[in-house]
Amino acid sequence: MHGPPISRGAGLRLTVLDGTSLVEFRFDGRPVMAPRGTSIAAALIEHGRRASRTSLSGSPRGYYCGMGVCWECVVSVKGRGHVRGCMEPVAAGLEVLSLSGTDGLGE
Amino acid sequence: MGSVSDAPVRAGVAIIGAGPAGLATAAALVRRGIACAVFDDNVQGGGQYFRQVPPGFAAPAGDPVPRDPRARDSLTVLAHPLVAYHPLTTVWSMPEPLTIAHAGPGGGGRLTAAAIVVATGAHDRPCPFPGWTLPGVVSAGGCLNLLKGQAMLPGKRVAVVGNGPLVLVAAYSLHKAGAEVALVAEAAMATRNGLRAWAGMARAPGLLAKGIIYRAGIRTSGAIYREGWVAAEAHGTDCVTAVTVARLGPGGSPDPAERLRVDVDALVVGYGLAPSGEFARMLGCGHRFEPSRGGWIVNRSDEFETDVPGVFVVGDAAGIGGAEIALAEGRLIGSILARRIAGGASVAGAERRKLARLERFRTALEGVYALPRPLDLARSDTIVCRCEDVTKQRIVEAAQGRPDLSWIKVATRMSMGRCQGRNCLGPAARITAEAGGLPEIEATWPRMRPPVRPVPIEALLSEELGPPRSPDLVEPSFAGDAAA
Repeated sequence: MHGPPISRGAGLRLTVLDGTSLVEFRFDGRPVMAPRGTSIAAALIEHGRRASRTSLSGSPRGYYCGMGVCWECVVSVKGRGHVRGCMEPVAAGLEVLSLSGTDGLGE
Repeated sequence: MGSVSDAPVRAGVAIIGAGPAGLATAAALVRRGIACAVFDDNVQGGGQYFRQVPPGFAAPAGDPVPRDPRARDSLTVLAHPLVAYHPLTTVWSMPEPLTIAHAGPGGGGRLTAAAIVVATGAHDRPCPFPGWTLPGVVSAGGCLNLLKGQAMLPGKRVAVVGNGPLVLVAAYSLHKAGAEVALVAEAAMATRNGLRAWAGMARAPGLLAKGIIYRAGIRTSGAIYREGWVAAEAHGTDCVTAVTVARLGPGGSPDPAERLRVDVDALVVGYGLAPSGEFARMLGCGHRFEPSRGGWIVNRSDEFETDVPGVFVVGDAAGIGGAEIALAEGRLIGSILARRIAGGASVAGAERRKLARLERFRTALEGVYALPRPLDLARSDTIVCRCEDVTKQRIVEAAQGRPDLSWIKVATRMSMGRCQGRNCLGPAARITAEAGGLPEIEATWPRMRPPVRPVPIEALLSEELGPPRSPDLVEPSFAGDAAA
């Protein structure tokens, strides 16, 4: 389920405007640090978690369209339900769980 | 958490989508004193083409990712006093004429307007091939959204495969952002076609210059560059580790012999765009089939009106045309609606002429990237419906029983997943038509039903619904059934 970690690229960086900083959330229980307000999906890619769920037949799936259409990046966020990782902003203390197979129910 | 809506709120014009077309529409309306409500499902406006970094961040000075400098000015209209801007809000139905149902963080509601402008843009056109569902395989839109919206590379060593201008845009952007672009494979003989179409291309010299710059940049990057080549397979178990490309064969499939395999940690796939026209499909608007414009596109009058009165579609949602046409149509619909609502001056001739020139460039560009026949890159065991894991084989078997997409949907669950068919109906229609010996135009898509995008149940619960109406009872019939 883990691929090689991807850094945010040699030429890329985000200029912080209002003093926001790295915050920690948890994915399947493991801590992940990412800039607050960037997307959960981007944070998972950065930390080498390319596969953020498994499909009905059990094959690994992850970020694909980045615009909320394909739902391949769907994750479960405690208190929010099933959300698209590419549309959901990172916030401190989020509890994010991967979905597997026929997971249709959850928090 | 949802609120029960009172009588529907009235607004001048309801605009669905805050990308280039929606923003241009809003600006043209408020310039003429007409109020509008803009609905967008993202946290910030801009759509894909004007995509911004998240709130609280700024793109750095000297940002290596190519961005259109008009984006920031275009977004200022969302703060205009005549604009009610609803971010993070999904327009999911039109339950009454000119009344839309919307759902957002504050609950759900309805809004009745004098006109509805659908500016929902486009999404990546799906093109299934073996391994396309592997993590690390991202669409061209997905790649650009990572670069522009998250300052993130999809990988360190990337290949770009596809057909159309986005291949060059993605490859060039990746190269400027510091990725190693290992391979670029364009399916069409674009350079040869482009040289033949130079007169048409010269109608938009700025866009032509951009294309030349991007192509030169890719040459500088040292990427292997092929034209007339397509994706044959993405390899890997948990994520993509390599891609095989092949020369495009005469039947539309990858050549079995002339192949090249390259190690990558991300694969960007861009086989064109498809209009996000689900709203008009849901309303039952008339459509026609134009593959060069992305497939089924809504019929419009020369004032961009569909055959549902008061519902207009502009930009890519009405047929793929790119950002310049989206901006031009947005400006034009503003003056058209102003005349209808407030009886103003007649429609600007200069805007019409500019749009006509852009349309001639678009036709030339379509010629550059035209393919002799539709691509057929999937094997029997390739997943076509990603959401429900339906393979090409299953669709072919069901189609041989009855080559009807609505039947195949029910039999296989194809298009019944979360994406609502956006990533499978196009390919499934082509596969079905081929299996049934029909032209693709006869593989009619199933009817789109509300909600046009997924919404939480609480949005439906916050609606005040009228009493249920019994549907008209019609005897179902299928051509070819034995006499009942």
